[in-house]
Amino acid sequence: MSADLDLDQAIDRAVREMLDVEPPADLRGRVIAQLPVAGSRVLVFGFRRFAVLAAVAALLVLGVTLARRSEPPAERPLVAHGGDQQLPPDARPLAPLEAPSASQRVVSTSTNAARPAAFASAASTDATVAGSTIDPLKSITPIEVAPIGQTSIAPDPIAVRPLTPITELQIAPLNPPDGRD
Amino acid sequence: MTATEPAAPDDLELVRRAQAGDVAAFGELVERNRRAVFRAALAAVGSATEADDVAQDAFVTAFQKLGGFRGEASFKTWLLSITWRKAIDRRKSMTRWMQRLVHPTGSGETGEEWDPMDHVEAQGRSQEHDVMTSDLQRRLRPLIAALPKKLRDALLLAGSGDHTYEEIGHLLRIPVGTVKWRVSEARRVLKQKMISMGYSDVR
Repeated sequence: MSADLDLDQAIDRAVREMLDVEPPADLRGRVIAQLPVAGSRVLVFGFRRFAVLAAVAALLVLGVTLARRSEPPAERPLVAHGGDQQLPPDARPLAPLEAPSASQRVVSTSTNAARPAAFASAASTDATVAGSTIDPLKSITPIEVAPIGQTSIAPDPIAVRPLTPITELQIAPLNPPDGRD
Repeated sequence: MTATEPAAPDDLELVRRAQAGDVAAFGELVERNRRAVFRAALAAVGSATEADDVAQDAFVTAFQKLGGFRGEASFKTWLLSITWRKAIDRRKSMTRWMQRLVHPTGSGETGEEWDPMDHVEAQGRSQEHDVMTSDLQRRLRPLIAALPKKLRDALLLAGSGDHTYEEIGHLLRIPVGTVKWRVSEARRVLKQKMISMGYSDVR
């Protein structure tokens, strides 16, 4: 019983011996030195969150802008008619339109920021606004094209020569094999 | 009229301050727990250098995860859990590294696993100290190192005097009763080996 107790005490001493190492005195200092780096993760995370929010906002703005541009434009003022180009060469040039009023000029020379309002105004005033800044069309000279000639597309006749007669083949009978029957 | 010194803040108070960004408060927590953390790591990895690395890593990780500490267990228990996981990871990586070194082809299945504890030297102790240590102590050390890991971990953690059985159970994720059984079993195995070596009387 006593020996058993002594062995127990010896084991305790041996275990304490194995772990009897003091931690380095500068452990606290080294940990503290690393903490600002570790703490900056909070800032990094905050910055990341802000960056994500900013990116989402930018995408929303971009999406709204693109959606507005893809919408069919509200009746654009007619500037010129394509049919005018088919006028005969001797047709008279279009007479210049009347000069726009002062308010209309303001609309036509407005800045980019005022464009939506200008479009709305332009739609209501129709072609008179846009026509004011366009010169009259000049007459277009017709393009002369040579008449198309008719040529025959029939192929030349093909001559086929008769085949030469085939000479008859003469086959000699086989000799009976030796040693059979 | 006597001036009374303000009582030192407890761990929980220091944790609250550290959670609010008080680095000095966390430094105080490091100072209070550095020995327990270091020795828990040492019990697992068996090397003071490795244990130092593990302890430092554990404290930094604890600071990073401090926001998740809810006070369900004591700060020390929570910190030791982090330390133990780090230490076990380190022990596994040391084992893998040494096994690759010993068996580079990976075919050396000898059935024996390299264990850092098998190579524990007298750390930080002078030769003179070793001479003064009894012959029994010197013979017991390799026997302890050769114990199965489960028994050895329980014995070393309990024998360090830095951890309660409850804390050890939390670290090893086993019931307190199992901790006590493992410690007792480790002692029984060691005594059996010592008696077989002729050490029935150690005085």
